[in-house]
Amino acid sequence: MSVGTRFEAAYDATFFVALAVLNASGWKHRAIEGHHAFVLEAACEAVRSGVPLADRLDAVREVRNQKYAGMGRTAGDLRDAKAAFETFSTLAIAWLQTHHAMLLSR
Amino acid sequence: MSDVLTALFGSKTKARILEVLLSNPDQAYHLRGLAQAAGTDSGNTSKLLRVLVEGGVVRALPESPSTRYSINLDSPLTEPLRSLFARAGSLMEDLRTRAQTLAAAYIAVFGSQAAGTADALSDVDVLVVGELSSVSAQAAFKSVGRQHHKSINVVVVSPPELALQLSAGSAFWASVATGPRVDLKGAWSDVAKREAVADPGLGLRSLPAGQDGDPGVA
Repeated sequence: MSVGTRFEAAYDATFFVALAVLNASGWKHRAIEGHHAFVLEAACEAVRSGVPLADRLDAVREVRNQKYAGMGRTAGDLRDAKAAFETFSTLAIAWLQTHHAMLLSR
Repeated sequence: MSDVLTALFGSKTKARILEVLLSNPDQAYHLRGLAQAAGTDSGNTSKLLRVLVEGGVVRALPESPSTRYSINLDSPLTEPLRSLFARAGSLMEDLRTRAQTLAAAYIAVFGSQAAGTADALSDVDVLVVGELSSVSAQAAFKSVGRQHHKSINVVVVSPPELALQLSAGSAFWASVATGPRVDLKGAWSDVAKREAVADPGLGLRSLPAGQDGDPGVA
């Protein structure tokens, strides 16, 4: 699997975890312009990720979008995307266990 | 506010007022709004505006119930001032401060901000020549973007990649090489001089070769 594909997977995983946080809170997103940025920012706020992690996740989103300008991703980008995902998903799972444990048990 | 601009204009507040007006050329401010944007009081702003209006750099627009102020786009000094503030204003200073913390050989602003043709909505294009990841470089400038309400697009290229792209005659990199840049860290001549290394094991990222326009994020 290429670095680019793995990077995409790391980003998608992050985005879906963010969606899970928002959906558990009773929110649903619409595919308006900028919705990925809004979803990530709102989910970071919900799980109290702090600004540095929110910045890193947003940076992953922006680097992911650079593919539309023909830019590739490096192994360093993949490493950073995975690290950001792992930190964020740990926080999100803890948040879900605290606030919506019933959802996790279903 | 940049120390250089404060020294040049003899007043931090005067430089800040000019920066606000030059950064928002389409906007006309009431005295209180301008004072607030410049981080000072109305009395001080009024006094300084009088000098700037008399000098023709700022236009006073008498409106009921109060006068509004905007940069005078017809003044021959406006474009040179915009260029000066683009290169030495607080945005550049904050970018420069942030750039010093990154492990990169060369960092610069290019595009409209460097050319002094940016408007209030223009993004900031930052070039980073180094071995760091795009994610870490992009994240590093987030706080500056937030502070100045600007979207900052970072393009990262390793020194061997840059040499390769320049050797290959990439239109995008040629435009970066010959176009206006504001150095934030290091010197362009140090990174652009390197010999091209056509090593297939470099793991080069694909670059926007052949693009003449902005490589910004979609």
